[in-house]
Amino acid sequence: MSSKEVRKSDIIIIGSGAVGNAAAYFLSSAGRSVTVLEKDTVGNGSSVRNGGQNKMNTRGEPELSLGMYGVTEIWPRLQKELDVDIEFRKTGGYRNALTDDEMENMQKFWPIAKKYGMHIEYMDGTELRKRVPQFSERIAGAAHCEEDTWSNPLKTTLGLYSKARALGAKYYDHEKAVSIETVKGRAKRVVTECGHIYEADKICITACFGSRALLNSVSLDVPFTHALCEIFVTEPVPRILDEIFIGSKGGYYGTQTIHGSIVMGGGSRIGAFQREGNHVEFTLTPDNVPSGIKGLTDLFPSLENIKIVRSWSGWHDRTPDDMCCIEAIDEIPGLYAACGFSGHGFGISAPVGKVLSELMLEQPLGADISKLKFNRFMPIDAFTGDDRKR
Amino acid sequence: MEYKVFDRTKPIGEFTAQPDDDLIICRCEEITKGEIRKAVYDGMYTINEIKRYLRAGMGLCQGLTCGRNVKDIVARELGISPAELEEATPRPPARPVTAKVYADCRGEED
Ligand SMILES: Cc1cc2nc3c(=O)[nH]c(=O)nc-3n(C[C@H](O)[C@H](O)[C@H](O)COP(=O)(O)OP(=O)(O)OC[C@H]3O[C@@H](n4cnc5c(N)ncnc54)[C@H](O)[C@@H]3O)c2cc1C
Repeated sequence: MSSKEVRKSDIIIIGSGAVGNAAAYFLSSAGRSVTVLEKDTVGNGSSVRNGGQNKMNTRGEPELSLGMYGVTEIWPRLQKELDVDIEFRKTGGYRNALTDDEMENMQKFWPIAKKYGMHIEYMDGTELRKRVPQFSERIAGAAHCEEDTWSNPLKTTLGLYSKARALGAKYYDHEKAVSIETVKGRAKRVVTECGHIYEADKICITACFGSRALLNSVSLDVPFTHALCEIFVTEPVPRILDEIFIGSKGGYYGTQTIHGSIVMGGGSRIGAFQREGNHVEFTLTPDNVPSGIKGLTDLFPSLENIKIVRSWSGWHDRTPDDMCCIEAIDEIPGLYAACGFSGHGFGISAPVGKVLSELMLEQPLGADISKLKFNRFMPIDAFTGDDRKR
Repeated sequence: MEYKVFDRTKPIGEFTAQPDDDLIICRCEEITKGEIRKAVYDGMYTINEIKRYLRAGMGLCQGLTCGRNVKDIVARELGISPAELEEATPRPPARPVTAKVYADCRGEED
């Protein structure tokens, strides 16, 4: 492509993770011409590095409508429509507590969950171990959520890409978008690091932590940190449980895949404090893999001799309230964004992609996203020290 | 070196079956030559994509046995040299390690 040539399409999507690819798929299915720009290679970001879980039981209320749209409609639809088996399963999930206080804390979620049609059942440790005998004696109780789901992140991300591409979406690797340009106040052009220019009436940013710089290019900002998190997988072992499982305080999350391997990751207090320029493939946070593996043997004492076959890491785009941002940006018509998934975006990537397509096609929305606008982040009230509400 | 990805907007034609498509290439995950060739036509142009899409190289040996062959097959379908394809990203540990060994090396004082 010569530097003067302009590539035109109906819609440009920046970032080819599960979210961008899902939007590209739904828009291509609706007959729109779609261009996807990717700074790295297709789908090499967080979407192929995560645990595959949709932990409905830990989402903030503003994300629950999206979550339920995914569980009831969009994930089952992708399972049928894509050419690969994305292994979507309504597994249900256990959220495990170590103390009565943690148990009480989890119970506060019940009325909120009920409002969204979710089913949560609380049980003590004895009942939990009746169902899953391998769980540690130290677990005091658990909340079981029927709406927790799992899908294979690799097959979902690449399956969406494959299908969108088959429907005509044009994917460009190593095309880092550096700025968005407006014409008469409307989003119109994307300029890439190589100096290429792409033009469309609608531009959608789904670039994980890269979204911030792109929003900054049109004088908008959304606050998030850029945290590194690790995860590992074991050799396959005989079936222990079908449900996904998480620690009530977020110390671990895991799943036994249909292959029998256990995929498990955890929280990190150090991950958000990486040195500038650290590379995701080579930097391991010291608190994560070894402590995560210790967590695995604490959780399932009988698995002490299980073999760890692989570990890797990925970035989180973590907002101040740990919830995502998704909107058609009022200030700049034609500009759309979905980012700030705070470490749990894969589980809602399919419904977020669908809702983005609905926004761009000007269709009624399948989920309520009104509480996920990024202008919700406000300075605190200095006098009371509380968060201010818009 | 930065590897260039094969242009995804360029048509590469349709998948056509070959007599040796049943040949098992990744023995750990039992992935055949035909499945790998087919994945290329589904748009999987890098070795990481093939691995993620099919699980080729994700079993116990982590691709040590089949890595070379997978690369050759993909390169042939794309009409390029295997040297133009980047290896799958290596992931630690190099050989499977028992959980207990890992868990014991957190450097904690008990
Ligand atoms: C270890 C780990 C475990 C996780 N576990 C879970 C889990 O179990 N459940 C769950 O729901 N979530 C989980 N997550 C979070 C989840 O992976 C992410 O929230 C989700 O994948 C975000 O999808 P995305 O499409 O927004 O981002 P990504 O997949 O990161 O895609 C963004 C893409 O944009 C590209 N990009 C960035 N800047 C630019 C630019 N300027 N120009 C062009 N392209 C650009 C990037 O290269 C990338 O390919 C986990 C994350 C990690 C790291």
